[in-house]
Amino acid sequence: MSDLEHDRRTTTDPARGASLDQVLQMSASLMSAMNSVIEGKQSVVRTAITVLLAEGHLLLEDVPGTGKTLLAKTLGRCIDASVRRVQFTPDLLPSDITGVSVYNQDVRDFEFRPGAIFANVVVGDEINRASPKTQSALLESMEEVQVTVDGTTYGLPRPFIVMATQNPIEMEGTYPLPEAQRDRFMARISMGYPSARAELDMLDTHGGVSPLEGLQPVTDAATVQAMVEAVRRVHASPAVRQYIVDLAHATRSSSALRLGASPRATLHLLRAARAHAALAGRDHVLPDDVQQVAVPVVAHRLIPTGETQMARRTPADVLNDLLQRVRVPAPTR
Amino acid sequence: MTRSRLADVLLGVLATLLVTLPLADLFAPTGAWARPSLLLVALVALTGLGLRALTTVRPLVVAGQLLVLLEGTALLHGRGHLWAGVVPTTDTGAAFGVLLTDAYTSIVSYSAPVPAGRGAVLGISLLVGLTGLLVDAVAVTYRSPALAGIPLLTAFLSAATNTTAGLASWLVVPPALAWLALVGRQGVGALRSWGGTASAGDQRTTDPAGSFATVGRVVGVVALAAAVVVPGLVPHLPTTFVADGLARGNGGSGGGGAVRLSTSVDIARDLAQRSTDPVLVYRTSDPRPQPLRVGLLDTYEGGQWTASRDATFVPLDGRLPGSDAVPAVERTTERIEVSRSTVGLPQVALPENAVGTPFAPGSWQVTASGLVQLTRPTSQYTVEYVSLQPEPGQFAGSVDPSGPLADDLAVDAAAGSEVRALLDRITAPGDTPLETAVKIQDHLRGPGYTYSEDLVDETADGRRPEEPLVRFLETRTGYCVQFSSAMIMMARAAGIPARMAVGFLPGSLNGEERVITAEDAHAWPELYFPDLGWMRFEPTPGVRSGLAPAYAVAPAEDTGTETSSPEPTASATPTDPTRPEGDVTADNQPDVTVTPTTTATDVVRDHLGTVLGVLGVLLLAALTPLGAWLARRRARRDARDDARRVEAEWQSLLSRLGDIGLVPGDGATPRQASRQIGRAAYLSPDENAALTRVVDTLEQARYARPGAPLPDVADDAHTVWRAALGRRRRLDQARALLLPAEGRRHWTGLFRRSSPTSVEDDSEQRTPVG
Repeated sequence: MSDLEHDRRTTTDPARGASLDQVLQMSASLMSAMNSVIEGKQSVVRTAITVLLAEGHLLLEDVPGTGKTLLAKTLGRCIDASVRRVQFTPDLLPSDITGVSVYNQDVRDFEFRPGAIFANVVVGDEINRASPKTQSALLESMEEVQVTVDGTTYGLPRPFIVMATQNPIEMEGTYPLPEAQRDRFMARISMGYPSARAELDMLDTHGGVSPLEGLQPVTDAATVQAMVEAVRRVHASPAVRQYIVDLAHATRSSSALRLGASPRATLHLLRAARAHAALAGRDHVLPDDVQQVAVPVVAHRLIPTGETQMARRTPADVLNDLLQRVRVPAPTR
Repeated sequence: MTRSRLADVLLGVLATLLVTLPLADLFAPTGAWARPSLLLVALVALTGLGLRALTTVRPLVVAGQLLVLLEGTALLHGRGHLWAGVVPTTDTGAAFGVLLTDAYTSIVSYSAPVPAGRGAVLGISLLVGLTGLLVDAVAVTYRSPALAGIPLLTAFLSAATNTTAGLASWLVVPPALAWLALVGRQGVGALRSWGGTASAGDQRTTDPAGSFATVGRVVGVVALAAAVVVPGLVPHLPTTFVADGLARGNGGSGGGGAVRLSTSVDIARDLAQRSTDPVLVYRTSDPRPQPLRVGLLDTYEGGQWTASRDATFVPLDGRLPGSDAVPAVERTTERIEVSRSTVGLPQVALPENAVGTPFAPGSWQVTASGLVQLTRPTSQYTVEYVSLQPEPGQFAGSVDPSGPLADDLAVDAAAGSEVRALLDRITAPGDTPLETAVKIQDHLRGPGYTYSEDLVDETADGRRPEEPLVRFLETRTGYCVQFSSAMIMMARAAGIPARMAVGFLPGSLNGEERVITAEDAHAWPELYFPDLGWMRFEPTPGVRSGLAPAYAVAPAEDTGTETSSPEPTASATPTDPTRPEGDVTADNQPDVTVTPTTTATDVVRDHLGTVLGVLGVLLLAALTPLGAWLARRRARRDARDDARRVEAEWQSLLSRLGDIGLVPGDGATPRQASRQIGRAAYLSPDENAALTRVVDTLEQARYARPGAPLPDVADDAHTVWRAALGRRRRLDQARALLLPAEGRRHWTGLFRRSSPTSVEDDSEQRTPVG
């Protein structure tokens, strides 16, 4: 990623929302704040912020104890916005997420009690421990950014990001997310174990008090929303769009994959690439941006064939191969 | 059935036949030997086809072909010697032996073109048939077409080394093309059998043979072009014949010092000298240089010529004797300037009819017969001489048989009858002296006589005549001394005084100068005509003699009844236009009708083949770079805005870098491509910065919002290209400069656009990379 930073261009756009400069500045402070808590995970942090600016949702997948929840909580804490955390358990009900109408004796009418979803940052912990019914309630609201209870539709606050963590599906007592629902997450990242050095540092700093305690918000919901607006205006040229479509097609025709990227994946890829370009201070998307975000954005939607699994190749491996092969189109005449 | 492989067989037959093309220069008439040869080659090829379809045992196929070849030869040439009209017997073998011996004799004794007698036809067709068999066996039966080049080359070289003037260089092209096609077919076939190895997901279905075949074709064409052009540029030594080479094998005495022609013994020793030391170096103003005379021999006794013991004197006026011709004879005065002479005393090389006072008084004298002798060595001198151009009528007049020239009319008693018999056969009673002389000369220069420095002792019917002149007239084989002797005796028998002059042929041109070596020693007859004096004739065949003088060349209709003599017609047709100038020797002087002065136009015309070849190769070589330049120019011209210009610049840079092997990965973005190129091309930080500027501009052009002005990156792109090119091997550099892919695409693009079939052109998908 460092190579993308050599051309920080200070293009200010006086239109609505933040300028690219402000995006850059704000994301840098956000990143440094998060990095102070999450040791040695810069790229994960960067991806998380990319997803935030691209109005997507983040799926954090890894074995227990690698800091998934910490990452989600840190991001929530850094933004001065409403943050809700939902611990998913097998007995969690959909209404716990979306909210419920209760009869108010005083006004003699049903009154809507918003659920955990009504927040800017929703941390869904161990999402695959909840029953599919509950999961789907969350996922619907993720897509539409609204909740409908008893015929009434309630809009969710903006910015809105769901950060769900889950354990790998082999673990006991889990309900793995169906493909269709995984598709709704813009990106999936895996935390991975920290390096020995980072783990040692972690013991020093986390030994006494939780680092979250002292963390102050560096930005607020309105600023984040302005940044999102700025990201939307990042220019994606026809060549880049073509490239994204080519990539999606390549996953669909690849013999190593049973299921390729969905059209939603194409959309998410473009949005994520825009955010990635904005984080590099650029007002236009490069194919390099697309390549950088392709694996987190697309890999979790792909289903490998039996042969690929037998060959111990993950969808990410297949996708990396495709990135090597799919030609970056030159502008058409 | 693929074993029979018709196309390969046909190519093999074609190559075999093409390789025999140069034989047409060696054996005449061509039709006589070409038809049976063609028949045998076709027979062998057909047999091969049939047998290969029947059996896989290769030796069996070859053995069958050999049998058929032998049987075919027997049927063609051995009729009358076959058992039951079909089966060859020992009698056939014996008959073939006789024929082949006969062929061998004529091949070694004749210079090209050898008349294709029965023996020669048998020999040639058998050899051609064998070549065809070898080619077919190696290339098709044993599937090693590359090896088939060896029999082909052998056949070609044996023809090439034996032609008089060397082969026309283009003659190598047709057989080489046929052979290359043979090799190419086999190679492509072998590659195809590997099967396709296109990787999964890659839509391009690549024929593995395709790229190799392209490389192969280029290599083949370049090699062929080089084979044609390079020999034209490299000077080569004078060609000699097989027979000459055999005859002269024992010569080889080098050594400098003075050269003195023996005036009594024969000249063979001098002819056999392989020394290339110049005897005489001179310049001449004469467009048709004459031989230079050093001695005169007028007495013939027992097969030996000697000079009569003339009294010597010095003319009172101190001038050379000059010509005896009457004033009416048309004449020009020519001059030779001898810059170096190693002719020993008292001999001095002078042209006929020398005039003036070139030598200091007291250093020279003249014999009664008019021969100039020196008494003091002189290595440099300039002599003027009278060159006579008499009309035929001026040769008239007879000589008193009892006059002062009586000695020059004496016919040798031992050879008299044979000489007179021959004279009666070739001349008519009413002939003028000139007609008689010309008829004698033309008879001796005719195809019935063979020039050879190895004298033959036995006649065809086994007799061994003692008298050398009789022996020559019977065996019809000899060199200048024998030819001259025969002419002199016949002329004397016809009443024309004659004597023998000994000297040198005009030698070979070396720039402006002519150089005479010992090999140029020569003897020729001089005949006396009352109004003209002593006139030179040239009875020795053109293989190794000068031209006959203009007055001694009969008009065309009078020339003998047989096929034309090898000289001057053989040399009148310049068979090898690429022959270097220094190689022009006496035996291929331009004919009378051609102006012999060497002008710039002549040089160009003589080297036209080479010049055109070189030009053609240069043009071919320049074609691809030109295409690349055109493509770049068109791209720049067609670029409607900055973005397209930058894009064109980038594509051009990528294409050129691809030429030197720097190809970014398939899926590389411009930025990744630039990193890969920078690493692979070992760019310095400055050059890398230039590359980065190019890529940044390209990204702006491609991906940023359109409309912003973009800098010109042509200079930066050029910097990168030069830097990358400079760090490659010279071979790669040359290839990149001569065969840029841009240029190839330009031309193929033009070709495709002009052909209506290629509607769905995939170049749109392929060319833009990165």
